[in-house]
Amino acid sequence: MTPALVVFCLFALGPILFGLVLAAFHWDPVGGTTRFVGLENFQDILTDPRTHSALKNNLLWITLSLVVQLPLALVLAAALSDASRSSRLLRTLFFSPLVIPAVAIGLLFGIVLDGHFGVLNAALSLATDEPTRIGWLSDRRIALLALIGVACWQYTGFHMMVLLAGIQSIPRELYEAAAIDGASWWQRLRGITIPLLRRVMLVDALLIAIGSIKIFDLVWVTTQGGPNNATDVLATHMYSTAIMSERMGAGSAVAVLMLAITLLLALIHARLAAREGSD
Amino acid sequence: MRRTTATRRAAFLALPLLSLIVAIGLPACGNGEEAGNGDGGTGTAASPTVVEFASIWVNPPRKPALEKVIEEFETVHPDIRIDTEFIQPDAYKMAIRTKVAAGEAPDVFFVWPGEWLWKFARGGQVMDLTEELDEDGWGDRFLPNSMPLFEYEGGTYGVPMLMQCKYFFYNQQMFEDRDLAEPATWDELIHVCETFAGEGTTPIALSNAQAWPLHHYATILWQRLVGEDQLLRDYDRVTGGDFSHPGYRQGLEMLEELISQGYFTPDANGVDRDSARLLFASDESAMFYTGTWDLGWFQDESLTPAEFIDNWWMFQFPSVPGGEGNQSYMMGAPDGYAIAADTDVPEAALTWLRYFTSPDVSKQLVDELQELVCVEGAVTDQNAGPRLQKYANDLSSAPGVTPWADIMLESSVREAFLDALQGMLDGTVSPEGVLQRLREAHAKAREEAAQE
Repeated sequence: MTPALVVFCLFALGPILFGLVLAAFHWDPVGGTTRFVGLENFQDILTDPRTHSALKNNLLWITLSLVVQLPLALVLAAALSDASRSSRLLRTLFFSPLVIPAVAIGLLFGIVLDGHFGVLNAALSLATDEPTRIGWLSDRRIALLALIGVACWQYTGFHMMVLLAGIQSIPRELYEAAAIDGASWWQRLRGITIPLLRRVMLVDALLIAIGSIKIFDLVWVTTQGGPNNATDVLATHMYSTAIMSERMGAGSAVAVLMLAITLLLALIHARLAAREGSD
Repeated sequence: MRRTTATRRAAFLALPLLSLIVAIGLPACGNGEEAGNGDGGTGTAASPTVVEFASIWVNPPRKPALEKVIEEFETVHPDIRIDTEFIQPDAYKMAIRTKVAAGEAPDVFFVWPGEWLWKFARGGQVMDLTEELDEDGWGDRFLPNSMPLFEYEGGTYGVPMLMQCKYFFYNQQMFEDRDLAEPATWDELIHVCETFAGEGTTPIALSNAQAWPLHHYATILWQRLVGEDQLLRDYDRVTGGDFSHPGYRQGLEMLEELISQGYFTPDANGVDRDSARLLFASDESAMFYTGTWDLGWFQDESLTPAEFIDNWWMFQFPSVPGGEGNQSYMMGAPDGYAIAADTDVPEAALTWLRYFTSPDVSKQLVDELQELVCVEGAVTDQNAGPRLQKYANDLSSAPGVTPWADIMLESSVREAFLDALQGMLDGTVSPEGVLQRLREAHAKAREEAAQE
């Protein structure tokens, strides 16, 4: 227990407390100035339109990830839950993007989605016989959607695995009984799988939400929050405030905001889980 | 199956924890490895003194040229080993600040002068080289106009390496086909742009994903309209002005004309530098307003199509008749190197920097890079191609060089300004809106500076 506590204090609690303290200071480590400013950093970031747009982008990211990934992962999990060779192969395939580092994925999709020289536009040009020049990452109207699409591609397989674990803990007899009664695949999904999977889906939804709040690497590698902040999320906003503008205190205030949102999500989950448990 | 469940549990527990660590810990972390050998810079061939060196020369022809210089240096000085870290220029701006903030500064590192460097000087992060530069005429080696931006409150905090200025690079064949001459005035530039845009060709390749390229247009237009002296006065983070000269607004409105007429690459806020270079080198755009750092790029066969290498030339930013600035001014700044104040190997670091800026090495670098090294006599008729010679001649006959705004503005002001300009390129911020955000950020930074 003690070693775990030491590690937790050193690498989690310590930085959290340091971040909380830092948020109350104007700190410029390069220029060498430190000054207590109280809540000024919070006032700054909460009235900053960039914080608002970053928060909005995170919320869109959560919403679309939930809407796309959860149903897709559920259908895939239900369809591939048997032990056949083809299911095992497909499961591995769908899961494989998760083991690729996000930076590599970002670089890869940077090449695929480039507006002028990208592979996707080249393929579309061939298919439609017309020169296609969609700025997947440079058009501010679609850049965020393109990135969310990439994230869905990367993470759906993981959530499929999470739900699959849940499905495999559902007693086989239920399905066998339903099959004898002549229930279709769809009826079994709706009548058995989804109701019995509610708790796992809840946990999974929370994982998706938290993952979407802390999303950073994919955005930073591909667009750095651009074009003109169209794909800016809280984590990239935090980074550019702290490092690019060299406002460490204000950057920490953004981090505290992220912490608060994450805690809120965890709290909601705990309440829901508790209610489930008392059913 | 059991394993998958366990994995899920572990992930469930670990993910929120990780997110907290990442969210809170990012600005605060730095790694604790690496230790200087602490002998004050007297190594031996068997255990050489290691000098950590940070460079942004990641591409050919720069990288191989630097590696060659280092190899030769290590042959002459077997007691010193140069440990180089190559970092992409745009990533470097963040990487070096993070390293310095964490107390992990490399012994010798690349710097942009002006406020960008002065901040390191204020924080006591870089060594004052005044005395060393006085010794055996080291300081006299450099072009005189390359030194002032390295000086701050009586000290000199770095040495210049390459002088960089902006030019319009243009496609000679495309100009010739349309009987276009190099534009000398703003109206002539507009005429050239109209001609290309009229046939559906994007006149000017622009990449603004990194946010700074567009601001070079603003800087030079301001120099033309407001004047170089007033501009420098307004930049200052302590005594700075309020950017109230009418030329500021006029300059941004002229820039907005280029934007609204579609003279730039579409969606340029999402276009990176390599793409813009490629658009220019593949006849997609007739002009590319870029820095002399690209002189080497567009003459290197591994980076540029061979048939294009002889098909481009360059002209200076046109004059704006009626403006209050000296219309023959160029825009640019030297880059250079500084030594970390807390280096464990000051002697070895100095030895390396003196060698790196020696006349012989400078001539060799000019030959290989086709860029302008800020050392007297480095550029000769023998080692410089026609483009570099033109640049060197332009520079020596220019009345002065105005530095680009991003190295002169305090960092939060710079970010606010570049951000607003990206908005202007997107059509979401007006010229007046850009100025307003610049003024607000500047006033706030002045307030901060006053409390130091």
